[in-house]
Amino acid sequence: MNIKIEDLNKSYGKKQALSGVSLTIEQGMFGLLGRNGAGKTTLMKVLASLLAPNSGKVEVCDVPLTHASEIRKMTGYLPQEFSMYPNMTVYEAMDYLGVLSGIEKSERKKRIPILLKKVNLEQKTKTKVKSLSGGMKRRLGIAQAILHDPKVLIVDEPTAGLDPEERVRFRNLLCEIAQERIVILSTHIIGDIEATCENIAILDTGKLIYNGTVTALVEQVEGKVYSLEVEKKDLAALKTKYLITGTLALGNHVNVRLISEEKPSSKAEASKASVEDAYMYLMHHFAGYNLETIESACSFGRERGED
Amino acid sequence: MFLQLFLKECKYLLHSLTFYLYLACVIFMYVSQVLPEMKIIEEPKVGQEDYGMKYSKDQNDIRKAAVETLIREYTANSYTAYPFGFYKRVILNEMKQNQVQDILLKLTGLRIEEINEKIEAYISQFNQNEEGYSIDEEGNIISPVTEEDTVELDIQVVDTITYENFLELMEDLNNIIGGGSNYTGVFLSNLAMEPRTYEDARNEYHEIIEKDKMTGAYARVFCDYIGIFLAILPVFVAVTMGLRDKKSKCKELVYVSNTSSKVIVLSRYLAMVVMMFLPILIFALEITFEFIMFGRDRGIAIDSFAFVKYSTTWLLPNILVATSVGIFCTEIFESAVAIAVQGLWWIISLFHGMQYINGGYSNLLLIRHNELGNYDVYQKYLNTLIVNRVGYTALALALVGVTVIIYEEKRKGKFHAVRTILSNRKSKCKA
Repeated sequence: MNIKIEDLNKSYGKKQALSGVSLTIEQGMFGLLGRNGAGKTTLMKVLASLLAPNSGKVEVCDVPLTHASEIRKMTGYLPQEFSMYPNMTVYEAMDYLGVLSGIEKSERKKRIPILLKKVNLEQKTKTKVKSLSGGMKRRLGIAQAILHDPKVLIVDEPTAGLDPEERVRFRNLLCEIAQERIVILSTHIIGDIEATCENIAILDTGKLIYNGTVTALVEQVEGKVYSLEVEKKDLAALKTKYLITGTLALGNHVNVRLISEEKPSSKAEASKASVEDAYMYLMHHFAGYNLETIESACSFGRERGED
Repeated sequence: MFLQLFLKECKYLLHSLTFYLYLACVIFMYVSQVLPEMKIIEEPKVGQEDYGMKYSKDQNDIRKAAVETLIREYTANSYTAYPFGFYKRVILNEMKQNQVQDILLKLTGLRIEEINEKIEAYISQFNQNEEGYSIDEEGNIISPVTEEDTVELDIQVVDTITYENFLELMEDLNNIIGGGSNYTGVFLSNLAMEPRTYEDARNEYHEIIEKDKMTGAYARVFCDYIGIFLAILPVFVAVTMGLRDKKSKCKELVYVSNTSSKVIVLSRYLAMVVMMFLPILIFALEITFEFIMFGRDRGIAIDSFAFVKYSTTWLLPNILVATSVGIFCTEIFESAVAIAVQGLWWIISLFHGMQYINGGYSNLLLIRHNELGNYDVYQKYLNTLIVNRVGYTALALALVGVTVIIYEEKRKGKFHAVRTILSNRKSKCKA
């Protein structure tokens, strides 16, 4: 059970959204990381047969993408913004989508309560979808996505906008689901990947810039991460020389976390590398971004992603 | 699975405000327009005060009515016309007014001054001192000029003008006005009215009882009124239903489902058609029941299935077409443009169909038969009617078929709504 992607290209007019992407995704959780606009959603939509690629070959569990109806049968999809007819109750929404998934009535009656319990919505069966909180909607989304017991589950930015508690619960749920199937998790929140995935791919401007394990990614930057306390006025100068991956204000001083090939100063202390450090290092070295752009991208990731 | 989805779609419609607005419109139109026309005809009796009016087919009457109408319109320089089926008030310039004046001279042999004198003399007999008027017990104003005393407007078409010459002049007149005026086709034929005689009324009654088994005649009038609304109202429901996935932001969820595009589109289409046709069928059955009771009391044999037959073959195609236009356009444009498309078609059909208002049918979407009975016309144009209804049903099904294809292409991401394509172009221009 795997997904094979070979030399996949997709463009919107002149904008190249995916460029020569080749990837194999095995069973379990698979993280797709990248900045906003990197091409993650496009790749997810191609895999869900919602978008036709311009060229390349994609096989989902040995079924080519051109066999859309078969792909649909084996795929569950949770879009970036999950929504359903607002006046339907939770049960009605599940039942309607169950009919669309071709599940018989007796089977729906059995499966829907089980799944709603699994996503902790068993008390909300008669609540209208419009009355659900963001987190509840996402959980309903995941329940509907696995309603027909798909081999592949595609979840696009599922934790964006969730509070920390909901986010942890959601990650755990995904890990549980991934035991029996392929779960592709697309996100720009590094914390999600760190907590759930071992295998990841990083996309940038439609190109695959990393494909491997999280451990291997972190190893690339091991021994290059330092922390250093400097005066605030020296921070700007430091930014021009090093890749800053984190700052913590301490009165007139700032504790800076940076990446450097060599020890930046005698006062600097070596730190254990994190996925975030590795991601920023990768983006800096392989995608050729300047330091400020990278830092602003990662600050955004931290704000949204850290628990 | 089709049946389950169909039932779910029917249930969904029962939660739709647009569907209830549709129901409200249909019920209002049924109560206000249809029911008053369903008064069961009584056998005429000798010596009745009157037997109603009918269009006169007498050439002299038509000529006289045309001249009177022309004088009125010429004097006010305000001509009624329906070019391309739309009402238009035409005001002529001096040159064209002079051309009309020449035609009046040819028709009546009178100069305009002489015509004016006669008109003034005619009008003056009604403009007497207020003291001459009185009010009767029921509050009606009684004119001092009795019907017997009234002098008719004595403007006749001269004898030297044959009916063919008259028609030629009318055609010239119609061209001066710009077409679609009171002086052409059915508009000209319908200018002259005359009282019906006892024989007319009796013949009509027996025709309705014998040839139409009573209900047939009424079913056509029923279809005439309701058909007008059913050619436009369903498009509102179809557009609302067509846009619901987009509005609820769950389009992609439906797209990735296992169910084939054929089943999704057809179940939704069929649910709308059935739910919109159901109230019509209930009305038809209710009226049929009234007629069955009446027939039983009077010992008259009626056709118990006429309303259902006519509703299914005459009205259902209207729902099929308006709904299919709704889903087809909404799938292409992902907007309410279908309402404009169907609305335009409906207006053109409605106004252009005025000339077939009492039968004759044509190839228009709106089939008119606004006269009780008129069985001979119905029989004469029955083939036209059948071709019309079968044709529109086929068109509706073809549109649904194309919608299925478009829907499948959209699911695969191979076709995007036209609006999306345009907005992409716009954003490119901005960039």
